Amino acid sequence: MPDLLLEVGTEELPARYIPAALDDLKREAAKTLKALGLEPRTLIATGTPRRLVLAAAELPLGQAARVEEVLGPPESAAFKDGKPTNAATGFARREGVPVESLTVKETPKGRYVSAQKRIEGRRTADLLVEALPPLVLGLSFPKTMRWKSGDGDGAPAPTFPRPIRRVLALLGRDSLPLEIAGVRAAPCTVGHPFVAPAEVPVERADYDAYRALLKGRSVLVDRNERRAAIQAGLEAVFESHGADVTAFDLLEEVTDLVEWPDVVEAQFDPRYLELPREVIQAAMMDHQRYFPVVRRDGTLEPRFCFVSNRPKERAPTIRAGNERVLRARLEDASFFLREDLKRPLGDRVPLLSGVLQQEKLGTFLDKTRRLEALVPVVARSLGLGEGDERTAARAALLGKADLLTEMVKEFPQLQGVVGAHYAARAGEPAGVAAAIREQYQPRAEGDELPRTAPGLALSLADKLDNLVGFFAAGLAPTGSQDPYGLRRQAGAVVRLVLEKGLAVSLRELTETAARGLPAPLATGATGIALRVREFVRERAQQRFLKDGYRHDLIESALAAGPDDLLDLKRRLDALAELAKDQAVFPGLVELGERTFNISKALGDAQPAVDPARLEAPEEKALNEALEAAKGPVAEAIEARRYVDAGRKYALALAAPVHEFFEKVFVNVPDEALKRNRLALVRAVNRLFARVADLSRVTEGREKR
Amino acid sequence: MTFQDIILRLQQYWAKRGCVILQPYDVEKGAATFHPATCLRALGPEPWRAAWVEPCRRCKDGRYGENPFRLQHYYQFQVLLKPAPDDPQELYIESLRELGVDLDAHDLRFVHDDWEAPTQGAAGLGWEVWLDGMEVTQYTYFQQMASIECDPVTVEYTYGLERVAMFIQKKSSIFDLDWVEGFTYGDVHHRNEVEFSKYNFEVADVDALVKRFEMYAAECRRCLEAGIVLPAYDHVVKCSHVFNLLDARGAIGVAERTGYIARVRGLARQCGQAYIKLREDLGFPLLKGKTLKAEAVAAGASG
Repeated sequence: MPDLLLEVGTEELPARYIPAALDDLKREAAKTLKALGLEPRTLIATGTPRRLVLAAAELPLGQAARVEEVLGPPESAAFKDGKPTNAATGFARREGVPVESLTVKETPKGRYVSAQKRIEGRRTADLLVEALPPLVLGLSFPKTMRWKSGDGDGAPAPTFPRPIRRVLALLGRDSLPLEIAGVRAAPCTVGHPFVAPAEVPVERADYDAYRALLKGRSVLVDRNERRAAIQAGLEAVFESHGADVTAFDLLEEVTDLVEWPDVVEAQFDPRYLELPREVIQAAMMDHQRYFPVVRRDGTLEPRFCFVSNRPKERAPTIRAGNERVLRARLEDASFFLREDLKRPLGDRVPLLSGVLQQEKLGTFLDKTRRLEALVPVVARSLGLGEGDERTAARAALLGKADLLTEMVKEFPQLQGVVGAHYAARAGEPAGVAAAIREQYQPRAEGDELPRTAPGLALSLADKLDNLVGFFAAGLAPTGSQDPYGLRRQAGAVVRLVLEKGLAVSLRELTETAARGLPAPLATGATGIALRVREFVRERAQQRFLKDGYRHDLIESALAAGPDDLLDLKRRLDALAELAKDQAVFPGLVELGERTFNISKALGDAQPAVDPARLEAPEEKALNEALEAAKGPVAEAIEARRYVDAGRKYALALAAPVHEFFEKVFVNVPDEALKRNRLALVRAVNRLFARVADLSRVTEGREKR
Repeated sequence: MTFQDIILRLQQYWAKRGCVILQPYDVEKGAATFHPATCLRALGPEPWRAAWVEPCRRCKDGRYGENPFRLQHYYQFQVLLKPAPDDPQELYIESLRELGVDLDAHDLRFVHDDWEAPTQGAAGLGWEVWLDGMEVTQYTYFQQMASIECDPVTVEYTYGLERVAMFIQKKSSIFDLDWVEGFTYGDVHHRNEVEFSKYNFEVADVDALVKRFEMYAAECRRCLEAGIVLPAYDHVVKCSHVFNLLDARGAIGVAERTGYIARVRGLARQCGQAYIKLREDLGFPLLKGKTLKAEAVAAGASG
């Protein structure tokens, strides 16, 4: 049983495409081989920036033969007097079987003649020659390119992320006569393009031998091995400086930028440590893919690691070059720092009138003014003291000024961070600088939240202003487009409220924010604020789903009131807790659901129950139970002890409600009686309505 | 190797590989891609091989001669190969060896970079070429030029000459580069940096520039109407440079920027389409010469 070895040699593939491409290659190859009836013992997909590799162990030499059944003419047309007719002989001849071998098969449509055809399996080699090229060219990538024209016969130009230059395709010892993107397979490979560029023959498909061959030619073809080598190299250096490797994304990328990794330690002049730490790290990581070394105690070392693609012996020269490059970037950054410091942050604020945020929303000076008005409202809503409120207001004034600095123009992702540094240097209080830094937090999933109260206030205000502003300007996100990152910002609002435990009225804040918008947009303030709150609610829903809450419990809690996210979570947690209690939950759900459904006939009305009209004993008992439960349940709800409220509610009313529906007919002809019964049922429902709409619970209810 | 030698060597190397050695285009531009030999010749089916030095003006990059790495005026060495050969990487690598770069001792890398020039409606996929971490060249396969698909595809190498020189001469400041024995880069260009930075950032007349943009755009249209593409395209390049000056002056807001870019792109597209039609009407003359070129290249490579 031969092995398969396929290597597609390309010009350097974009590093970030490679992990997904390898997964895709393995998955599609497995599917294709299975569909062809050629399953290998093992399947490996690996690669470097210059080659994608597929290795399958122990493929069969060919497909197994199989028998296919083909139906022919109806029996009545095929046999006359027990002898085959022309229809039968013709059918047998067409299908290539002896007419004597024909049988009759019973089908839903009647009795038909059946031929059993033996289909010989095809040779694996032939199948692979056909299947491998489309498999490779069909892999999905974010972007592909053309590098040559289509051939004269009308076949379109091949596309791939980067040009394909070599193909190795061996099945056992045989080189498969296939062609990918016009490149014919040849039984050879090449090593490292500079250390060992000569072509070297590969005699048979043997993944381990191939791997060893390439290793001897300075290529670590196995991606896992390559990544591990880089990680080990980094860890050795970092450990020696009391630091941990944390930049795992960068590690993944760098793995696919080299074929023969050598981790090199290098240095930079300590005087550049005067630059804000984030600037140094951005200068290193963004473009150069260098690893900063941060000690466990938080100090940034004047050194860095990079991964070269040459043997160790070359490191000194290569290090010198890289150190020069970093020095150039840090020198640039120092230049920006010096230029920026010539003008205090505060002086830049009026100049924000020259930076447009968005045509309908105005300039960043307009935004600054809006934040200055909104921040005190948010601060009060958060219960900030006077001092913190003043700090937040000052931060709101200075917060966008760094958009005009050279440093932020060079490193846009550092807005806020740079502003904080410049504020500190201008003598602003530490609290103001911190708030400026924190206004954009959390920037992404997993990013930290503001730690200071003024930072929290400004962060919340900034996001709410963006949300109402862009919604009002007609730029709310659509299904696929969200150029202003509003989903992320709404998600951040959810995180802030829930994780910081902010008992704020989103209604008050969104409406205030919307009223602060430029005149033509502010006229629809209430509507805009409502849309934004719905949008935020969707984000909350997504988050709860992600956190593992049951979909129906989320619906149930949301339906009872979506505006106070913190309270929503409490109620949701209570429902989740109650759902675990099989003794209580089914009864609770039935109670809530039946009373909700039937009282829909009342519309929105909540008529009072007239005790004088109660007739049946079960009605009276229910009313008594309701009266007794009202106080305790309402008190528990008021105190937000929702689990307790749920238990009390269920304990007091589940049984009486069940009895009521068993014995009492609600929709009687007597209108007054009917209405009174509906009123009672509604009153029972309303007692818990503030907590949840139990009619939306779909699981865990009692089976009736 | 001096800055001058680098240029001479590159010209010789690419001349040997069948390239027409052109001269810089005499209209201000931000990159060699704006030279009609790049933008227009990339369109249509005719083959093309050219190489030349192109001075570029990046108005926003001025640092008054105080930054040792960043200039508002610098030189690119542009190489175009159309159709794309089968071994473009090897051709480029060999050119570095010609310049005396020891590729065993240094870490040469191709780091993916997809390039776009929105004003020209141009897009390509390719790489930054790094030598020991320093980007020295942009190597691209054009996919689109003037908003028109490229077929055949052109390979472009754009060497950053100062960067290449800094690598070879191991200098830490562009101004210290030896242009030729006895003259540094600073001797030749430092004052330019000082004065043009001031012009670009502080002095340029914004109102006049705005008017000039309109004038050039109008003249471009007039030329197209008169059926002369090449002068029309000249005005696209002029519009682009005026846009760069306005940008450096800080006179372009976010909303206006999209507008300006769209207008230049629109004019570029019209010129591109007119150019293809022009070549078609002429019968795509260079297509006939294809065999001749191949022979010349073969002869040159062994010469």
